[in-house]
Amino acid sequence: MKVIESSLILWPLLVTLIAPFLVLLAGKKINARESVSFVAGTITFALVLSCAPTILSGGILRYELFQILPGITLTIAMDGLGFIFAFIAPFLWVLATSYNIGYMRSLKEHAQTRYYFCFGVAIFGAVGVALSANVFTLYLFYEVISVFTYPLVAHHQDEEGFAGAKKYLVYLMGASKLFLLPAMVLTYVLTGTLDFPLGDIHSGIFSKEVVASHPDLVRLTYVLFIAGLAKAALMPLHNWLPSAMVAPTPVSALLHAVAVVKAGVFSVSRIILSGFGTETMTTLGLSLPTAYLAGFTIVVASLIALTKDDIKARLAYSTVSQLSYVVLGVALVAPMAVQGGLLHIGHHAFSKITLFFGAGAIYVASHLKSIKKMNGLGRRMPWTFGAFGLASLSMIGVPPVCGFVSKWYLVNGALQQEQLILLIALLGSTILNAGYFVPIFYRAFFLEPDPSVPISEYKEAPVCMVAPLVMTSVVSVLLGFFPDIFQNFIRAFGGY
Amino acid sequence: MDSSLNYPVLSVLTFWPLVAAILLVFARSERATRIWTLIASLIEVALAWPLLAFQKTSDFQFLESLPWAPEWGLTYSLGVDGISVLMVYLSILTLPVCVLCSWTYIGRRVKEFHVALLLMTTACVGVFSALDLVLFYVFWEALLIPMYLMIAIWGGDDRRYASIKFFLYTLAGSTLLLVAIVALRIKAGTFYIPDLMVTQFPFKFQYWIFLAFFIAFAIKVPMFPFHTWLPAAHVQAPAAGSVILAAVLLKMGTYGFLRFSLPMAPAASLEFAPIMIAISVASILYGGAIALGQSDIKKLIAYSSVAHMGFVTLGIFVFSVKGVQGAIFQMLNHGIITGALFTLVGAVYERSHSRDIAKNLGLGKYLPAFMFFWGLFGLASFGFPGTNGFVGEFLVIAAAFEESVAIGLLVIPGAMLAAAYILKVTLKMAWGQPASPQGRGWKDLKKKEWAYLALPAVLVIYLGLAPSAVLNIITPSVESAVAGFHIRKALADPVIAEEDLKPVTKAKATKETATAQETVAAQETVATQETAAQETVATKETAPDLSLDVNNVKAASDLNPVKTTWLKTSLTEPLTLSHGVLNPAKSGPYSPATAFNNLNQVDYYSLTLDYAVGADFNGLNGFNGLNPEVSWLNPEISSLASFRAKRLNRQLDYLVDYKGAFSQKGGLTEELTHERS
Repeated sequence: MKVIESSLILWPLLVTLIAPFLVLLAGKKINARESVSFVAGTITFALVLSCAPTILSGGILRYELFQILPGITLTIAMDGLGFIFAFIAPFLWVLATSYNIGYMRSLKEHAQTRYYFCFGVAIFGAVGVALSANVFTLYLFYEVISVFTYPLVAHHQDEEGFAGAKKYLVYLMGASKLFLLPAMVLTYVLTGTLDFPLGDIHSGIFSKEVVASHPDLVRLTYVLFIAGLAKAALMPLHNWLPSAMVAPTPVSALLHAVAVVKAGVFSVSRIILSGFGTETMTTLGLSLPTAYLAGFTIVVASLIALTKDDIKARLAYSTVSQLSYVVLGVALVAPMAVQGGLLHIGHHAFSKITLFFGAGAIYVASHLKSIKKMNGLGRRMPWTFGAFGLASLSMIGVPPVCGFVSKWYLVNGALQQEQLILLIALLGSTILNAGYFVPIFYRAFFLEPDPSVPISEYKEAPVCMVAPLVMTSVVSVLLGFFPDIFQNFIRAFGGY
Repeated sequence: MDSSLNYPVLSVLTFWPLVAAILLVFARSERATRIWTLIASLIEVALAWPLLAFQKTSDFQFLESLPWAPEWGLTYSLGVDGISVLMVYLSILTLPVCVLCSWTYIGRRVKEFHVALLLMTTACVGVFSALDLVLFYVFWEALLIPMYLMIAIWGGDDRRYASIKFFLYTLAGSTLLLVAIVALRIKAGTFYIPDLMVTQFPFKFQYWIFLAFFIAFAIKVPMFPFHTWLPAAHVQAPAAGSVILAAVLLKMGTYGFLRFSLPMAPAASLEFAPIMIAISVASILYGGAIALGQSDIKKLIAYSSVAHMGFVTLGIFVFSVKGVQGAIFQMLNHGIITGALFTLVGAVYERSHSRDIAKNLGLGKYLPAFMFFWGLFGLASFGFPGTNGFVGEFLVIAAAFEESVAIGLLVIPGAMLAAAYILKVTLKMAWGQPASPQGRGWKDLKKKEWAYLALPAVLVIYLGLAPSAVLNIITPSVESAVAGFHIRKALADPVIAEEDLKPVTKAKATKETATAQETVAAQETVATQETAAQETVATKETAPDLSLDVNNVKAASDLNPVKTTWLKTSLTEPLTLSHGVLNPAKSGPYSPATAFNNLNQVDYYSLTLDYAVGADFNGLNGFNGLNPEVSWLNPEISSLASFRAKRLNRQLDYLVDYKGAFSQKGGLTEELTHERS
């Protein structure tokens, strides 16, 4: 592992920072405004991609921006793990912008400039989280996401919107102030630094001496970290996610399948692997309780999803459940499990965004939200439901779609650690996943339409919405065939 | 210290506003009054230019001294150190902001208002630069009158109540301050603050002095439960009054704690620390909780001040470098952020003629620039990372956690409450649906408003990302203050009994005897243990080896004497302790060789105990817990040793790491005495 000081990685961050302000400048010139997001997303993606060879050859890029206090700096760095998240966010931003245009224009939504501005800032936050080289930087960008996604969640500015957004903010900001802040302070007080040891997932920030002399304080710090990162939606701090579904669907898609929740599980992975390290996790016995909590979340969230008829609510609980796959894998600290968990960050992002895109396309085409009323809709919207079906297979974990690969690794990891109960949770959730995804597909294609629903009047949503969701579903399949795309970076990161 | 422009900077800064106020007599119109005051305030800022040459040391600088009333021991002495220079800046920069934000806000008795404003600046700068207790007191009291007038004449509907409450509260505090000043004069024979700061008072005396100071300063800060005058005063005061109140007046209380309570009554400060910490935590939680329930914007910000100042006092009373750094940084932050928020409240009041949140809804649509600044200062106010608010809050919370995890965890809900009330009011103001079509005709921020908001906005971000600009100025003073505090506190420590100090006299004889004494002492402690015999053997074998590499010593059995020796040899060379600080009774510089013995004098007993248990002194980097290899110690001794080691560790840290600050402190005392005679 070689740490290279380079201002190269500053550029993706700068582009995503400047883009939202260009959006504001463009204002009412809607074509210019929307092309800013396209161009900025593409440039960011290209910039991140240009770092790939260095990362794959085992290098880590690092750049220090500001010294805040001794041991606390604003520093960005890119390693294998950071690369994956920094790669996904702008890629999906481009697709989501195309989708946004279709959705927002079809529904004639208000305050679109503000919407695109906040969208851009949220991506900036996500890229920042991906590139964080220490806890302070992570905390800063994590908070940026929380604050600037609030206007997106409350976009409709009606009572329901405010209620959902309030819950969103109370959960996320409350947890980060109550738990994440003291966790960070404790880390600093115990170790005098907040820097992740780059290129090392074993030792973490806490030295052996600190762990030996203050085991309980280190444990407390860990618990505070996990509780503070409420964006990961681990139970019992998951309730904000279903409430945040009051947002327009593209927001749910990008933010609640990618930027926000992925920032959560990414941060949890970062804290577990780089912050505490696999050794401390094992020595202090933190690994298994976390994995069990994740396992519990997986099963219970799936059970709740079964009961939901609103398609977005069902997807929301499915997200809660799927996020915990990542946490479970990382918490088990066995090489196979960690690889499975981290792969799932990427795989779930592409599959889940397809599902949300699908839900939004259905809404734009038919204004339907209830799954019960979607009988026969598949024949009217074959592309949308075809992609939806593929992504569902990924969620369930059917080969060759990408969800299978990550699940395969997770199951292997659980076997490696000889955790029978977790194995049962993983396999059981597969059945539950099938239980709530297959009916949607089945109704859409095989059941006769409800006479009260004028199915024959509906047709596919605009092309600029359908194209992105077909693309993401194709990527899901491709990732199933070529899992090495992400895996190589994870190997570079973990030294596997 | 010498600026190229040779004028007495502090005197000029103090009295220029007074001169400007007198010159206002010639102003014919209201407009001329405003313009002249603005020009005068900008001249004041320009006159502060030489202060930028402030040396980053703990010395008092820009000293001025004139005989005043020698028969009473009064001198006219001014000077600033790293702590007060920032407060002087803050006072000076507040003035133009106040003039600008009163431009249209104040419509009657314009000339009187500006006279009051200028007089307040004179008093503020005077308070922070006075080095004579009586001079300090004069400025302190002088501030009261214009502030009272400002609330009483230009205040809101309930101004009589608010102004009288303000006056009575602060006057009560001032009376006790006067008592303390007289008592100090009688006991120490001087009014000169730097001398008083290094004088060693008996514990009983410190106790009463501390109480008197406490009442005076706690009212000013204000600390819960002495805070009730503040919301009333803030709500009734005009915008400029609130700005000065928040930015400068409240700082006088915490400045008092730092300048008087801690240095002059260190042992008593320590005695009262648990109470002070409890009150600070109460202020943080109570201020935050009450702020959350407010429907009046100004009241909300006023209660948030109580919470913010709670962080400041908390930082001060954990007596660590981090804590005091954080406290001073937080003082500056609060001045910038809350001052700016009050100007914004004034700006919105001018438009809506209401301070009710419900009457100021939906401003995001009508006043986007206003909302931008409000959002920025709001984020800074609750410590958003990347703003200056974060740095201050973080330092104080870190210091609280270092003191005790329990205190740290108690403070955290306060940080959450801050986010809650700020976000609540901000979101309502930005997004709320106004009941009637209000605000259609409101104009967004004018150029004048942009002018006075730009500076704090830049400072919020700049100090958030590069706090070292300020930390570098205050750190030498903070370190010296904290180190001096710990040493003199230890000397007056009632916990150290006479017999504890006995080994000192023996140890003072020669180097060899000292070593022997320590070895014996170490053995005595260890002898209570089962493995005593083994220990003694190891000790005897390793004791004479001075060249042993400390870093390679791992086992507890051979730590004790080696470390003693190492400490001794490493301390004898570069450390030149100021005898003025360590022991004011003696004269003549200490030879380096006796520095270690003086250290013993501080806490010899714990030193030996620590070596016995092998506490980690590697590089004096801080206490890392007991050596796990001495788990055989019986719990009673090990917990006592742990406590002692922790305390001693702090003292050693300050002694060795900040020896620079120490020698400067000593040098300063001599220099000042010299200058005065």
